[in-house]
Amino acid sequence: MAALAAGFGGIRPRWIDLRAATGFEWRLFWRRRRLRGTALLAALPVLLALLIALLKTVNLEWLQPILPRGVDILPLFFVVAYLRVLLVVLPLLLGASLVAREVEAGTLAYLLVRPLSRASLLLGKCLGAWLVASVLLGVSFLLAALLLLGADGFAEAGPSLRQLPSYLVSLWLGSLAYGAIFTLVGLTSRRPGLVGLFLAFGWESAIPYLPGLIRSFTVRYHLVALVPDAGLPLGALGALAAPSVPSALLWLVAGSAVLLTLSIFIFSQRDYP
Amino acid sequence: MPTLEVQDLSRWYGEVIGLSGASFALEPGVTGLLGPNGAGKSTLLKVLTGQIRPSRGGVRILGEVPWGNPDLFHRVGYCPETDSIYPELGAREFIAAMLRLAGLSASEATQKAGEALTRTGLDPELRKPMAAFSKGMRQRTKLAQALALAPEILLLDEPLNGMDPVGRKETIDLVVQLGREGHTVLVSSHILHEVEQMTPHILLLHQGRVLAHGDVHEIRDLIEDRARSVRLRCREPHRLAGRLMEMGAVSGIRFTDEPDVLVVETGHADLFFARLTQLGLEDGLGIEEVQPLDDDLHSVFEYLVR
Repeated sequence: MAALAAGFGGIRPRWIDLRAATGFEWRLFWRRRRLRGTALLAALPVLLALLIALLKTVNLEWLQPILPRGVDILPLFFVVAYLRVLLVVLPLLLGASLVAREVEAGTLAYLLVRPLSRASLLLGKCLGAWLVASVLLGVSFLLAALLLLGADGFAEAGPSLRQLPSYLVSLWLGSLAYGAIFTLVGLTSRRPGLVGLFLAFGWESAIPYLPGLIRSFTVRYHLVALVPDAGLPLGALGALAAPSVPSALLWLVAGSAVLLTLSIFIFSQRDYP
Repeated sequence: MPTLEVQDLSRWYGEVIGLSGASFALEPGVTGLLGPNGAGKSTLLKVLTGQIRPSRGGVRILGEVPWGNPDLFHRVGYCPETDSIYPELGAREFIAAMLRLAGLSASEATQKAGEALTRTGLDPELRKPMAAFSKGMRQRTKLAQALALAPEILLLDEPLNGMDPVGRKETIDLVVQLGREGHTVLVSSHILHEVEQMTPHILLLHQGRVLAHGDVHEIRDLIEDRARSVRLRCREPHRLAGRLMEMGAVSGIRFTDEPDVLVVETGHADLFFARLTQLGLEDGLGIEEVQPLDDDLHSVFEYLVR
């Protein structure tokens, strides 16, 4: 135990420090001009949903039959815009640069000489970034869903509305898991962007072709188990037997914890000349 | 009682030596950390602030090891050399954010940030983002964040870089004042005359080694293999020159364009000054002014590193 504590620089995260570091990252995000582009990314599906909703108000006979119903298109939106793109891209942009950005800007020195442990600092920054990603994803998805469902009137949207919390939980846990992966990638790789893109769009997309247990080492495999909708357009992934909800939750939460612990260990041990 | 102790400290990066066997101890007051580029000044400050670990040897600040010891940084302030800031934040906002990371409440942090900015001569009510600051303003902001927790130890890496003359003067005065208040201030610079204005106490680094540590005048006195020049103004310079040659302890004398001034070179400063005092008591020589010409920091530095 003592050896483990020494490995972390003899320090553990403290709640008060964690809260301070989380708040710091959260506040800084909304002030960073460069990162505001990240928020714009999250707005793209909303704009698309708004366009669809507006088109439904246009009185053109040829157009209305080809516009899909909100309840039908919402799962497609979730999978294509969120599960495959935003849920991966936002944590990649936020997580992989969490420390690299401070190193590059030369501002890490200010943070390392604060009276808070490196464990608290990194974990707090991760939590801050996760909160940002969760808010962006949550607000974006809710707005898009309400626009799509509301365009047809909410009368027949009852079942879809009841599924929204499941979608949100899936997004939040997904961003936690991806955030943990990309934080570790950001700390260990010289090209975190490239490695992140490979993991996000190569490794995760290869799920259906992976044998047995290896599938469990992907995030998306577990996320789909959390969404109670057999109608998700998952392609080859849909043909796989989804894990149980408890198993998926355990893998996502425990996996994130292990990756974050590894990241903290590396960050605590590293020199920043 | 030393507040900062460095014992046989070495730090290397692969095959490059950053610091090599440095040992010294500092007490409260201002110490100038001097050395050419690549001497190891920033490496030393980074080891002292726990950003990097020593490869060998150790460091103690207020009796504690800085690496992996965040609590110590309630008592240590650091102003980094790099011109790095959070460009989107205002000065007060930045310092308050740093203070909140130290556990202060939002209101407490804002108040202390304002006080620190006032102390470094910046307007705490200034709203513009730091991206629009001049380099001098950024330096003052960096200095303010180091001071904000009123730490006992202050480690300042080139705090005068990029400042205008007024800013330099004010910052020098502030550093002197901090030393008088009992803080232990280690301030690095490569601008020698500025360090001299802050303190006579210097730590000279060269190629990762401590070349000299102590009072600049004492260090100069230790250099025995170089003649030391002293400018003397007196009523009878030629008679004084003769008397000095008779008494010994003088290796050379030259007269200047000024009729009442001569410059004496000596390799034995203590002996020379003792004999000069005796001569000064003699009637008729009329020694009016004694000015050592080369015990300023620049000369010491030149002598030691070449």
